[in-house]
Amino acid sequence: MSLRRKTLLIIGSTLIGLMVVIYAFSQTITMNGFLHLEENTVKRNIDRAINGLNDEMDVIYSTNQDWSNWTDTYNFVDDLNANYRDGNTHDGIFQSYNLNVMLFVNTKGEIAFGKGYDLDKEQEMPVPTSLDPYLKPDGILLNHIDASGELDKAGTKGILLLPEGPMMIVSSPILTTEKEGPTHGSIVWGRYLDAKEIQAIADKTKVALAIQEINKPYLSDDFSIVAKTLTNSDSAFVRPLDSQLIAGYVVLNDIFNKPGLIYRVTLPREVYAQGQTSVSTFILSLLVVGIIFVATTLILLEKVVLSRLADLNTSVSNIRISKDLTSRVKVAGDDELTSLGTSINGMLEALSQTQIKLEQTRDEALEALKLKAQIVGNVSHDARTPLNVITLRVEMLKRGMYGVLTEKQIELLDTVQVNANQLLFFIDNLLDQAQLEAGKVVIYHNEFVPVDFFKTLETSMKPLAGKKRLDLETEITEDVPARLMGDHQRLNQVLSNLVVNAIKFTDEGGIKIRAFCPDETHWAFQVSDTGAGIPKEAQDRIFEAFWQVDGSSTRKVNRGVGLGLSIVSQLTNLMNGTITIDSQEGVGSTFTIILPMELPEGEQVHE
Amino acid sequence: MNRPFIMIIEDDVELGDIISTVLQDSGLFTETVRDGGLALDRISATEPDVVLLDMHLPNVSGSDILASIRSTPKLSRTRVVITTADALLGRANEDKADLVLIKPITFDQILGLTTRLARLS
Repeated sequence: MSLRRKTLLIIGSTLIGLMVVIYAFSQTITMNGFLHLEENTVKRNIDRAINGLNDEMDVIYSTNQDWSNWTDTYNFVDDLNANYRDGNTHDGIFQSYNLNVMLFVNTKGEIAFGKGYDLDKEQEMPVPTSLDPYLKPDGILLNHIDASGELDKAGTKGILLLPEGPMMIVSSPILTTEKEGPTHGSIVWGRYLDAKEIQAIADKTKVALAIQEINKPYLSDDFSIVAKTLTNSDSAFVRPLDSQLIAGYVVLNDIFNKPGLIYRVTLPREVYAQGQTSVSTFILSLLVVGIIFVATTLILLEKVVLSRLADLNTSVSNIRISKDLTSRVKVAGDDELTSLGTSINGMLEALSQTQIKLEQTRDEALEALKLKAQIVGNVSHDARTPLNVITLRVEMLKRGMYGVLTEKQIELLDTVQVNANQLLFFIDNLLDQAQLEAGKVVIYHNEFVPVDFFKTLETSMKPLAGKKRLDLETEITEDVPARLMGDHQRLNQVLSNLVVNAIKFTDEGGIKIRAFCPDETHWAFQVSDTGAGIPKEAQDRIFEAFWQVDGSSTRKVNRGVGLGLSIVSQLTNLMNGTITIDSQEGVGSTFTIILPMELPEGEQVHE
Repeated sequence: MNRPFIMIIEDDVELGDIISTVLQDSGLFTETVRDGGLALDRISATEPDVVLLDMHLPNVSGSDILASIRSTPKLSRTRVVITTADALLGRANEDKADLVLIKPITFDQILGLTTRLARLS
């Protein structure tokens, strides 16, 4: 994951986490506060609604009190004079006082005068018979004697639950204007607490109201829920209806002080909505601030760190690709990245210095190798001419060109010849090794005849083998082509070295040279001896220059400087060949060289 | 080739003597020259059948002499046998010379020289 993505992820998730915590916090703490506020608002409105109802009741009651403490009423209940009746019980009175019922009951409990009025239809109606049960002399409406036996001049007021609906009802004892008795009965007024009345209260109090009798079976849903939880008039119950509306409920007692009505106040959830809006606005603004914060952080991070890191990375990559240690990364500012850039440049400087030194050392080494090859070449050249004089003079002596020789003299001259050849062989190897090291050896591709090649080699090696009384045999299998392409001089070097080596390490038995074709695209030659063999652990190292198998058993034959096999191996590699050893200590060794087969034009592979 | 004339160009006196002796014993005419500069004049003057040419010579090198012989029309029939101790140099001139002998050369190589050249032609 890139640093950019990681940073975005870390900051992003931190912001989201923070938002979630703040959201949860504001939802619980803030919204709880708002809900509490809402509940209080609802309760206040319930109080207002109750007050509205009470005010209405009080208006009826105070008017009823005025009428009951009036000598005209006092007399009317007895004489039922037309004057009072016509002046005070006509329809206009009902309309202005919003009354449905007006009763004048005498002390015997008989209705002296009663009138019902339908306010909706604005016409007289019969006094509802449902009132009859409550119009008994010892009933709550007509009995004004208190617990101490005195007349209660204040009368009574309350809500009466009638079958046709609840009714606000007031009743006062009829006294003279001076509030003197004895009482002539009761004056009872009633007003239905119907939808119109409730609406009137709602209009005055500016609160949506509804009313429902507790005992009625057809309570609507929310009322029935509340009816189960609300049992007395002391507590109010607040419950949201939906996200828009909230309702408060309170129980109103009837005139007998028993739960009679559930009074409902419905309010729009302004407070709650305000709370929601506030929280949403808060979260939204927080989100905006957060996004700006993240964006700013990322931009700054990009500018201050990431883009510079990317630049550094690109510069270092470019240097790696171009391998140009002299170029430098750009360094700007003054911080950790600056010091990183400076460090990289320092490292590049050190690497560049090292590279220059290494190149110098390599050039010097190559120069030294070339010089060495040059010197060895000169030495070789200068040694060859005198050696040639020696070998030719010996040959002339042997051939009797300077007089007849004894057998002993000829034998000694043979020894001189063999030793001269060994010296020459040694000088050749020294020269070849130097030329191989200096990379001056070129492989030629000329045509040669394998049979002649092996014959010449055998002839030149015979004297050396004969000196140690060893057999030297050559076998060429029939599948070897009559003509081959290759560098016969280098092949001769390889084969001579192997044979010289074999002779050197063999005291008894013989050396066998064998040429064959392992497959259609390769030809090979093998040099086998019956010598001391090469220990397994030494087989990997025998091709290193100047290395020899050490040990007392081989020491006596350990002549030379150990260049032969190194040259064999290097030349074989240059000819794209492979060399393998199969050796057993005390039994002998077999070296096999496999070379790619190159045929001159017209030559074919033997089937 | 009836009694061929062989010019031996060799700065080593002893080796030159040996080769000359061996060749004369087998019935050939020879002349031995030790100096590169002198060699060119003598070759031009005598037009030998075969030149035995050493590569490292005083004054004028064997390579220059070889190039000069090859660019002289009247010497077109002259065969050149390089005799050198420097195997690399010898092999580098293999295509320009008729034969290359790397020192040390053997008695048999000297004796077989005329036979081999005859076979080449």
